Amino acid sequence: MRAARRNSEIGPETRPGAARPGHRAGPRRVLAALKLYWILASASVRAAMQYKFDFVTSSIIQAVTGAIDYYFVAVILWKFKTIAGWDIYEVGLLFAVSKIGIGIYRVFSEELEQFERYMVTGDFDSVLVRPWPSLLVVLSRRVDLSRLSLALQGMGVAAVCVPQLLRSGKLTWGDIGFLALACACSAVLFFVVGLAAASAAFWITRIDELQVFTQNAPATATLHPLEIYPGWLRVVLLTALPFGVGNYVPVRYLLGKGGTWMNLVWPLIACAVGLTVSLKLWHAGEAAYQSTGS
Amino acid sequence: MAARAVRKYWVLGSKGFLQNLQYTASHLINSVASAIFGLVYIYLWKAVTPVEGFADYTVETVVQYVMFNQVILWFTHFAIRTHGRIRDSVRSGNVATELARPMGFFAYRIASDYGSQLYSLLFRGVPVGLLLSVFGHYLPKNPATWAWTLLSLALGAYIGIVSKYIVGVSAFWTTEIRTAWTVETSLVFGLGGASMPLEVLPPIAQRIAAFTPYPCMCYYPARIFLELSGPGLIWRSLFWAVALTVFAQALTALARRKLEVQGG
Repeated sequence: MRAARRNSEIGPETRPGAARPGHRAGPRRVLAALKLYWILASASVRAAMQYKFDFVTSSIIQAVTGAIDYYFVAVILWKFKTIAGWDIYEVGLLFAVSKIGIGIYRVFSEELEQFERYMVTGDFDSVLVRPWPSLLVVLSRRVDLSRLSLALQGMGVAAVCVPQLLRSGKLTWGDIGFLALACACSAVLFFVVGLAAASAAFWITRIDELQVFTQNAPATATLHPLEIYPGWLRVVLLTALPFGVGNYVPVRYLLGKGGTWMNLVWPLIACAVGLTVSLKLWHAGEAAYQSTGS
Repeated sequence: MAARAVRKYWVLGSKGFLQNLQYTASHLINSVASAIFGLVYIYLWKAVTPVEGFADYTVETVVQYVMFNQVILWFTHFAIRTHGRIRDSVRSGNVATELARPMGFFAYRIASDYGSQLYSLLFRGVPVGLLLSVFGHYLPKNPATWAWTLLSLALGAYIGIVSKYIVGVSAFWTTEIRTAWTVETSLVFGLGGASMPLEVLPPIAQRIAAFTPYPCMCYYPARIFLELSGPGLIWRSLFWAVALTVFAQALTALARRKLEVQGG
């Protein structure tokens, strides 16, 4: 059943694109949508907190064991001193910005990572009949605080690397604000790619493998300085899967390894363009949605 | 009698293989992602390895080491689903039926997964190897090395499956196994040589790794294939295969007594 046909059956008041508060973005509707998001997200957090012990222990263990990526880089740097001229603290900064970004993204967008399930089981039908933008409903279903462990890893590495870089004069106190901005942009860029990959599910249904391809692999690649990669791979990591714009581009400039002040602006531009494109993709996908139900 | 028992496990293994054949296209996409991971690590190692190399690795050897591991990782670690299946079975209560079957729960789970692991080697590992072959490929000089490598790999996959089985059985006590799996994966990468030769680790970590089963999954097969070590490493894999089997069986017996079926 095509979404369009269902819309005509369930009436204009519940159409995905027509009468949803927040969809035509008047300030009151946006405010109402945000209020609803807050209520639903709080409920999701309260549900998770029914198992406090499990939450705390699993978050800590995940933060520690999940730092394997940095362990890998740190071991290499312990043995070989630098990667393409970047020392352990500089690479640590790349790692920190990326991990904080992905941590924030995963806390608020965990449902996008599981979006395949909505298509396979037909659960998206229940999202469509609600009088709110479908993306808001999907995102509000789970705020996964345990994913803060990823951001904690990044903060832990930053806590070691930043003071060292400040002492060596490679960073100044003024750069800290730009680093915070870079973390925020990195989170938005993970959201952009995550949303685009989730949107693909409207057409191809199964996206698990696509998510590995579009997120895990490039996210791992950008934990290292991009100088080590051939030109074509660098272009991919700075355009189509722009995680490098979130961490490498600003950090490279802040550490005085090249670039101009525009390196601090590119992440903002990439976020604006990326958000526009991926939201359009989501809406196009929503219109093309076919339920699996009977 | 023995033939019937073998046939039983053969059927389970074949089922796992055939089930996976339904998702070949999806797995091929994943192979591209795996190849990209391989690319990332290859370029990283090319950037950091000194011209004169380190330990008994040249730049070329370390690239081949990374490639080999990228090919076998699905076989010995990533594609194994035993833990998830046991967890789901405990959560749904189906585990009661599975435990009541006239065959060992352990053998049932291992046989089911071995078929899909073979599929993973052929349809996930080999495509990754083909994609990464732009960096050249190492072929052992001694024909016997192929046989030793396959034996080492078979044992490595077995150890991988039993290790995940142990993670899965922990669901009898905890129902949630994500943390246990994360710890296990970290150990495969950190001490198993999945992402780097163990010679890169600090000496203390190398010594610890030698007393764990994790190098059997990646490091030993790679060393044997690249003819950097002889087949003697297979004895270590054999030891761990037996030790983990005994441990897993004992854990299963405990779990059987612990079982609480959900719902009513």
